[in-house]
Amino acid sequence: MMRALWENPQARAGLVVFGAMLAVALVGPFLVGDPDAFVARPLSPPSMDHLLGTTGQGQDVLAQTVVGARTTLGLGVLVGLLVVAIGSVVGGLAGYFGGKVDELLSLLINVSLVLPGLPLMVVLAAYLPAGPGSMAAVLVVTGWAWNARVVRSQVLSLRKRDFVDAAIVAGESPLRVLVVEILPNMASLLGGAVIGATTYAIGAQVGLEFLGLGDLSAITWGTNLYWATNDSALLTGSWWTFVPTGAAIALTGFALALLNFGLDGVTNPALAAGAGTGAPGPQPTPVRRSP
Amino acid sequence: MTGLLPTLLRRLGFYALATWAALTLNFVVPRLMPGDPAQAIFARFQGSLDPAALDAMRTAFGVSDTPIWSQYFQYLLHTAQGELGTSLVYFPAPVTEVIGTGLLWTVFLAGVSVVLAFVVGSALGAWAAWRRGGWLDRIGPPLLALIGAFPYFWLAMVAVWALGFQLGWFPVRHAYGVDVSPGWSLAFLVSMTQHAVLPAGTMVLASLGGWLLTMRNTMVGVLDTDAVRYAHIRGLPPHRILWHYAVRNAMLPSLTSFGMAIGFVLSGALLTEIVFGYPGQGYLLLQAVRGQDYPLLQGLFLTISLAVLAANFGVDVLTLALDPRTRR
Amino acid sequence: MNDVVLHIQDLRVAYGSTAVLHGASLRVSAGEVLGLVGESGSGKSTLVQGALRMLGRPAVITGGDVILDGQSLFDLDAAGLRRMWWNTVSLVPQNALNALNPMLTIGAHVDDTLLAHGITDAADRRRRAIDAMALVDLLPDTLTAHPHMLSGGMRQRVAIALALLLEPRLVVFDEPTTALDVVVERDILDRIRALQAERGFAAVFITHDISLLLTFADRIAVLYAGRVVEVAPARALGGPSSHPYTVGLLGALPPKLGEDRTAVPIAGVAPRAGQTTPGCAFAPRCTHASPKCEEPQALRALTDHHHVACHRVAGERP
Repeated sequence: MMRALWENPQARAGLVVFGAMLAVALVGPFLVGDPDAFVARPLSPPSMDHLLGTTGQGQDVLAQTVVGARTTLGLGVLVGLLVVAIGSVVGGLAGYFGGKVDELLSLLINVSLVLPGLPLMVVLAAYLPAGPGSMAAVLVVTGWAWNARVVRSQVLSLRKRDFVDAAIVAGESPLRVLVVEILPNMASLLGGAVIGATTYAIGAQVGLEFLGLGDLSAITWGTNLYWATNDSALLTGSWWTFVPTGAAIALTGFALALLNFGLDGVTNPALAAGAGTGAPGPQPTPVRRSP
Repeated sequence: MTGLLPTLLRRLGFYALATWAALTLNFVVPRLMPGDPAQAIFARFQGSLDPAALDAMRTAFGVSDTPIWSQYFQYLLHTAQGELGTSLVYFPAPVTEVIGTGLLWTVFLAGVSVVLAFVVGSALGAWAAWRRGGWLDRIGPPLLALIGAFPYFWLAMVAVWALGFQLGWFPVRHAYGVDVSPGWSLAFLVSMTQHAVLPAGTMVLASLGGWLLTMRNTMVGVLDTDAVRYAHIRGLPPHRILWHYAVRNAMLPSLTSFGMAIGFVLSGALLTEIVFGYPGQGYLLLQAVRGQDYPLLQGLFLTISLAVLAANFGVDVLTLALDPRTRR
Repeated sequence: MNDVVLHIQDLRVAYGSTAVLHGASLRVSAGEVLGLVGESGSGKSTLVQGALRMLGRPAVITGGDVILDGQSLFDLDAAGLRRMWWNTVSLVPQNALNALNPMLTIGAHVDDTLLAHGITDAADRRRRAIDAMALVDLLPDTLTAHPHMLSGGMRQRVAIALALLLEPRLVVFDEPTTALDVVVERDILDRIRALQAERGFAAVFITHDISLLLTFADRIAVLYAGRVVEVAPARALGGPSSHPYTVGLLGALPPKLGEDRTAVPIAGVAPRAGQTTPGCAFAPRCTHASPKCEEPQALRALTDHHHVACHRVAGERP
């Protein structure tokens, strides 16, 4: 499947761009200066010395953007994986065992889904001690239920298939059946889920930090934007304190979205982009004689 | 409709349970907070509140020495009576009054945005799927995905800077101008609309892509079904297939998402309201959090939870009503 | 020689990049019942629906020609095809539950179809709808029902009634009884037979169950791995001049009560869709295979009505 993804132009573009962002996050901080240091007059526009100018505190914007990538992307990917992991365990157990287990877990999932996430996030973020651990906890607590529901319904329908019954009759343990028989059939679903969860994690993180509810002493994309507005970027017209981070976030989100489109197109060819001529509605089978 | 009533009752039961869960969560969370909200409130208000309000806050925050179960039931009772305490940030306004004002603005702003985004986005998505491979289908999803990938508040602030400050086309803060007062006058309505353009506009733009893609994918699925192909073979004209076979069957799953989105209207406008200083529920929430206004916080959480639950229930009812398969 | 209603010549169809039909040919004469039999995945529906250009994405026709009532279907545009569809040829789909729109009543389906073909008078439509229901022994109030309210058999009857609305010359029955139980299946088959005898339309009856066709069809076409390997009158099937696959197929049928025979499955597996060889696709499983089988095997005429794609049976006749 990885090869199919690579051959899909949208997925390939998404993978390349996201990979580039990850590379910047990993390696970049070693190549730029200290983002905390005071390097020049505050709010100076981009110049040869400082390619993206300086912030309201006289710090190098380029350094801050690059270093910020590390925490934001790192936490984003981690939370994305965690959310899918937890959601899959709960949803998987519910879908596999059915009966009372399913009823109980479904209730838990549905209630969690119906409680409003954003206010809960704001409240939790406000009262937990600042730091990546708290941020991760907040995001996971408010985000796991969606995946659980999706995984549950997929496991439920796979559970009824013959090959699963065959494995159970052959004496395989429930854990083995789940991991060896069912999970591989859900690869594309889980792939899409991780992409979605990571996008959510990055977006929510940035939002909370922008509101001042994150760890203000850390350098992340969200806190960069928080400080930019705090230092009146708009009123002074200092667009360079605001635009690079926003663009970086958008690029990452866009890359993940492209990857998702590509994944959709690979797993369900009917959805693939570009399959069609723009003619309205259903069409007769086309005739395309091979040369 | 024998199948309808039991299903409805079961859904009602679920929502009753969820409401209870929301209320209980609301009760539990302040007690888990570090610090002692109860002491803070008590110290601040002793002597300046009427006994009922003070009582409500006592039980809401565990000041009293009565066992926790009795506190819990007192809390439920007070909540049912609408006694939500007094706001600290907006003292001496009672919480219900503060929330009341915020509620209307949020419903207006977020409601209009969600409806617009849903209608326009779904229409575009359906059209993109109908003309598969056409320019809308090829360009729409990636373009709107790019726009939607920017943090919402970032887009909002760019809009504020460009269209508000630089070009001066629209006002940049608040729900209405300082020169008008709330009421049904034309001047007020005009001012209200002017002030809503930027916040609602950016919200719609940011969420358009999601609705477009969802509807497009659903429609693509529906257009590939046997029912649509069979209609095509029977010679039905394209417009008949579009409306009665495609859109009609794609609407149900769409409506479910719409219902959930409506439910989150009350909580989803938070960032917008903060950027634009729009005095809605979200704005109040942040003020409450920053000012450690626990009564207001609890009250807001309650109204938002109840709104989400009500909206979800409404969607369930609508879905049951619209799908002939549920009637037997 | 009766006039030919449908003539499929060397049809090639692919789904995306996977070729599933590798040059299949078929001829249907006016008023005859042609059975089309093959295993699941052999390409039966693809052959007929593809020929009529009724298949949706990702199917694409890559070669051959199809003449319906003297008109080449591959030259027509969407509008032209819509004129042929339902007027000249109609389809009874495999699973009527999926083909009917769950949101609309049966009456709406009938009305839609009639309106689409220019029957503008409402009273006329109403009368035709009631007649259509009567044709398949359904009460007029069936028209007010939604598809899910009807049983499988009733839905299939609705599909038959819809197919006969405009009295086409050819009706394609695509596995009409596969989703039904044996008792209902018998009823549907009897109805189809009676209607065909009464109305005289040509019928292509697609199934994977050859035993259904033996007493019903005039001629039977056998499809294997994307090619038609034999077309013969029902009586001649399985005889000494039959294709080895057909012989194997008949031998694999469960024996009927009193029959002194045991069922013998054909050894090996059929090739997957997309796998194709220039020669005979059945050769790996054939007990009479020889090196000559690796050459392309065209359908050769043994008699006017019996064609076989096997050099061993047909000799060197063209």
